[in-house]
Amino acid sequence: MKKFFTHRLFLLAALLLTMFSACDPATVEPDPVGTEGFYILNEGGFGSGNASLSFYDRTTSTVTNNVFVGANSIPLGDQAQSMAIFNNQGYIVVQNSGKMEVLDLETNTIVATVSEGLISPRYFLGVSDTKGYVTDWGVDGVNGTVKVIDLTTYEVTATIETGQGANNLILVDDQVYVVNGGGFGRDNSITVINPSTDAVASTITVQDNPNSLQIDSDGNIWVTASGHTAFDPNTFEVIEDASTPGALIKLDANGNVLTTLSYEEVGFSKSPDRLQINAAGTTLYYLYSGAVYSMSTNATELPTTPFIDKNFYSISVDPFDDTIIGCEAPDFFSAGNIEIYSTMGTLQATHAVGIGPNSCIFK
Amino acid sequence: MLEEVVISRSKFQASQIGLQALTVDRSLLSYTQGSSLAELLRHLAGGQIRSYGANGLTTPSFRGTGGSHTAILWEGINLQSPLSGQMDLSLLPTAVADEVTLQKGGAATLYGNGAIGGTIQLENKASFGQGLSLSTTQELGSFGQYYQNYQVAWSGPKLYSRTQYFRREVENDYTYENTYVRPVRQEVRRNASIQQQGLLQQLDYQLPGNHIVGAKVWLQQNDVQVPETILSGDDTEALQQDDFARGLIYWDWTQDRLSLTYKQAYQAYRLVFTDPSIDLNSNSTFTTWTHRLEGEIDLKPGIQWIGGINYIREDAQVTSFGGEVPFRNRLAIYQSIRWMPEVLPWKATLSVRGEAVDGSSTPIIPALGWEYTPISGFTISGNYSRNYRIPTFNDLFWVGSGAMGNPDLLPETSWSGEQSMQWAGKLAQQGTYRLRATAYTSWVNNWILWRPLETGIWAPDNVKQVWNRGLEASAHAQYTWGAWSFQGDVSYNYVLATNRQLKAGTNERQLGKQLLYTPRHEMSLLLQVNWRGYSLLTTATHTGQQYTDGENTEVFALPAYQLANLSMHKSILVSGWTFDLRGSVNNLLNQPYENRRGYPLPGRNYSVALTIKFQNIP
Repeated sequence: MKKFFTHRLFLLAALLLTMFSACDPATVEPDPVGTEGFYILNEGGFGSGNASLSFYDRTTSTVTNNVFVGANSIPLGDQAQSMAIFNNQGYIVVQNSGKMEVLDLETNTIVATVSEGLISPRYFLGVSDTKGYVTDWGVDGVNGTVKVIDLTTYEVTATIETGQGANNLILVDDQVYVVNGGGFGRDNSITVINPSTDAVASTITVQDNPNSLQIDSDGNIWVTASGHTAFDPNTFEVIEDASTPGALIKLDANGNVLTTLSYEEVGFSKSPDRLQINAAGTTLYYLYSGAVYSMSTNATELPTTPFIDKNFYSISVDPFDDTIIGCEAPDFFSAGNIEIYSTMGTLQATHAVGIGPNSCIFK
Repeated sequence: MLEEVVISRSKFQASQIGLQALTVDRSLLSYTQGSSLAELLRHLAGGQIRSYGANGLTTPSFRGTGGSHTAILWEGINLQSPLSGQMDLSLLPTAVADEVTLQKGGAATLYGNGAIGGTIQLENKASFGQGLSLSTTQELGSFGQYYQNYQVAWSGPKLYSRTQYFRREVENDYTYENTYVRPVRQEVRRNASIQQQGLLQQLDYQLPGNHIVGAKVWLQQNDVQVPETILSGDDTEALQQDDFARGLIYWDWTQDRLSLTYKQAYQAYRLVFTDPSIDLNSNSTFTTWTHRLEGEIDLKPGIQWIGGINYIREDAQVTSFGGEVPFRNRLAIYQSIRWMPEVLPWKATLSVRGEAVDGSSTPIIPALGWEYTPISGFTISGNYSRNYRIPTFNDLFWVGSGAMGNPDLLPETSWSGEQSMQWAGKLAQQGTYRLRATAYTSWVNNWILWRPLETGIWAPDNVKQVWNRGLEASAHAQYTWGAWSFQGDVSYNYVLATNRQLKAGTNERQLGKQLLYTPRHEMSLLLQVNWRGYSLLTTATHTGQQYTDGENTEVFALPAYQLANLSMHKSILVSGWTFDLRGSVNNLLNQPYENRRGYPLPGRNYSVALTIKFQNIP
């Protein structure tokens, strides 16, 4: 059984957006010369239309910036939220441009642009050779949905209602798990969808505002939830009684909550986010309170000391060597950096990338 | 015929020496009567005017400074919002002023808060003894532009009264080429219309004993749709309603060696921003109340003392101020000594200003200006000053939408210096020319910027020091030949505006880089020809490449662009009646361009206008 899940993981690795958890070198075709490495998606400044795509080349340890505009002669758009690699194509979801660019990864050129039917899209997941799902926040950032995309025509063919602020999603055991992160509202659910019928199979209740998820080597699903921060809009003072803390939640493959490791403190930045996992599927990494934390999937308590005591906009874990990559965005009108850390948490290299780097995507 | 005068201009402000100014008079203003000051200045000053589209927020950027670093003054009263520190030039129709002056360089000792990069001054004139005049202008233009203006003026021996009503609407549904998508496609701008109307009343009355008193009122309503960047996929329905009322009264008294002016001005402004698609409704109001007393004394022949006291009370009520209803009292004292001996080729002025904002004082700022004319027609001059801008209410008190003000902000301050050389003379018997070159440098400290904190909340901070320096060169000539008269102006500006120091935690690769939206090179040309009631005006500008990010990334830069405009006038006089017909072509070369990324401005467009004026000569 365990082996089955592990094998499944290898397949998923190619599909999933923020899951860099596994990659079987034996099943991966060698990359063309100079393309072995990973992409860095740079969100850009909201309203400035300066989202961009960078590429890190492992053989030379150098970053090439602006590969999208270089290949296509148009900028990527406004607020690039995520990129996924599926069937050797890149799917870049550009939230404020309300579109998804589909890239040929050999040339980085546009294969198709999906915009009709997408309003405020967040993440892409390929569920079959001919079908993909894109989560969408809707006009008001509250009415979350999943848009069904026909990958032969690149058109939105159906809409599935989920919870508020439908965010990240993964495919586990023929079921799609969508975390409803709240968006501009509030939610505490995970929507489970059957991708063969596009019907909602069930809804799982968890801590407030689940935002990201990963699958571990035991086939369990880990979720980070932000919790809810209630505050006086006049003073930004946190109202503790009305707030709920963030948490890490472990579910089994059937969606049953096994463990909820809850923080005690509430407030801004007291929200675990950007959950990542190493290639073996045994160590979790996430952002919390202006630092990076790591935790074993066997842990029964939350870690108390940071793994890297630095504030990042986002983190990624490289499935090739388990290095931890911190995305640094000092502001959103000039370029940010990626910082590459060893598995011991030692800084190894820093590279300038584009404006507001928000994730690394591995080929 | 009596010359029109700007009666209520501040003597102190008129006392500048060593600063360069460009005055746009009514004859030039009339070419763009149906449009906004934003459009007029885009014609004259190219890339120094930044616009979020045709009727989007438009602010000046003189000598590398930002939109809140140029004081915009009406009759000497600062119109900049205490909330944002800005005044949207696209809301100001050119018809509200008889004269517009652009003056570059720091001048905060004269104009107070915010005059770090320069000033734009709007003045209304008055004239006496000219009888009754009635006039109307009707203008039609591309993209649903319709402008109407009605004026009644009575110019008696002692009393001048003028009432003006205008109404302006533009649909702005222009077509642009969206080069941010592939394949490139033609799109029509949507949600970009403007509708405005306004009423102005002015009264000036000469009393016996060299007293003049007067009052001015300016009421205006604006409904402005706010489009989004064309890079965004949303179909916004955002609407901004700006309504304001401004009024002032003044008294002016001139004796042999003494003159006194008292002015009181009140401004109430309401801004309602709504976006039904995201259920947003935000309300801001502010009022400012200014009192100013100024005196000028001739101490000795050629030496004058000018001094004044200026008090402003600012109040604001904003949805996003978290229940805080901020107000502040600002008291400024300033004085200046002016030395202009008749027999010597020298002139100089030394001034100083201090302002207290609710008990805490801003830095005392001095300024020194001088002029030297060793031979007739040749002048060298200089001006050195310290300037400041206090944080806005938004900077201090904002809460909400993931952003939060910072009550501990320091005022921005600058040191500026400039040096000019001017050569003027006659061109044969019927012409004149003037050549001018200016070099300047300015350091702006404690530059305020909003950036994200660790919590993800955005907040302002005194982030950087900026060094602006550059060169300005211009030539002006006019020439009369029989029934023909010609006027030509050409100018070139070079500005290096770079980050010199950055606070920890910012991206240090921005050091030494050119500021956003600040073209290094900018050129403009103006040519006017008059012949027997016909006149032709062309303006052209070149705006160099502009960077839109802090590290000067080429792929995000806005390309250089050239704009040209052409207008023709024909005036016919028939016994007291004047018929004035005008036709204009703007953006003659149909150049696609932006000066804010993702906010395209219109291609070639046309307008025709007819002004009918009746003048009853007494």
